[in-house]
Amino acid sequence: MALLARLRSFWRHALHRSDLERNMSDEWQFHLARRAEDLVESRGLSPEEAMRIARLEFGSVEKYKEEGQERLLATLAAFFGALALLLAMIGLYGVLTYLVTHRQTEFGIRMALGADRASILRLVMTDVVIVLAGGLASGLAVSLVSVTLLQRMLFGLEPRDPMTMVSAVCLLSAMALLAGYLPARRATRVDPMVALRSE
Amino acid sequence: VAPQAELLPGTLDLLILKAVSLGAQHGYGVLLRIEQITGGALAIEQGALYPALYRLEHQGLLDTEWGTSDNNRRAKFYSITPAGRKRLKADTERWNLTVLAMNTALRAQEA
Repeated sequence: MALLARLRSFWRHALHRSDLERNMSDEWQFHLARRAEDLVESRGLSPEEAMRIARLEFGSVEKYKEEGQERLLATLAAFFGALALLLAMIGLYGVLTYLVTHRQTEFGIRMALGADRASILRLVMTDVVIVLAGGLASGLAVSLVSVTLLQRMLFGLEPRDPMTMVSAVCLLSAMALLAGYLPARRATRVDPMVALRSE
Repeated sequence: VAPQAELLPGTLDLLILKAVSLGAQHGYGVLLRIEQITGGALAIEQGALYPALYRLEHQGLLDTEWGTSDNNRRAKFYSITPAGRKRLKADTERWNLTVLAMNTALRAQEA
């Protein structure tokens, strides 16, 4: 349960970050407004001119731009990550559907001999779990080694952050199990008579 | 305009801690106070102030609270934490040692 609590606080923190950014821009706005007022008072500038100078002094334009680019890059990376996940799901789904169709006769015979739906489901899902375990093991190994190369791109996050790893493992497992469950359920719907007759 | 000195790397944090230790301030107030206590002799890049403030807050040296400023605008106020005071004291001592050593070295005469 301690793990659950930590996961929850991790996600709350991640969501909290957008709050933080809003606060930040509020704070900068406040700074610029106050600076502009002071400039109006001390140098007798027009409010527009004072605001322009306040912005220049703040020197934030370049920083905003840089930040925007980094954010764009991060958004793109997340988008491609999601795309890769979707493709992996479709791939797993396709392979398993093929496998299930291929073994239709086998499932028919098993069911004719008394296997119930749960055991057929287990049979297919065991394959899914084996594939998943292999994928997770190699994926974790590669990411643990390669993440040090990305260290410079991480903000507010340690490389090998346990919560990030746990979240990724949970997400990938859930997606793989979902992609595997659909064909597996189809395997349990095989009508023994149809399967045997088609031989 | 009086000539301004460049801020040495790593000294902005110390200046901010000092400024905030004199009383809670919003970001702009911290800037004004630094200008005041340095007699305007140090050039502070305004955009660099906030990353430093966030860094110090993240390290637990500063505390923040949203409040209303003197002219009724929402502003974030920074105050120093006990850890911040401790750091200020330690860094001030380190700074004095550095200044002493540098001055001694630069005043050395050819024997």
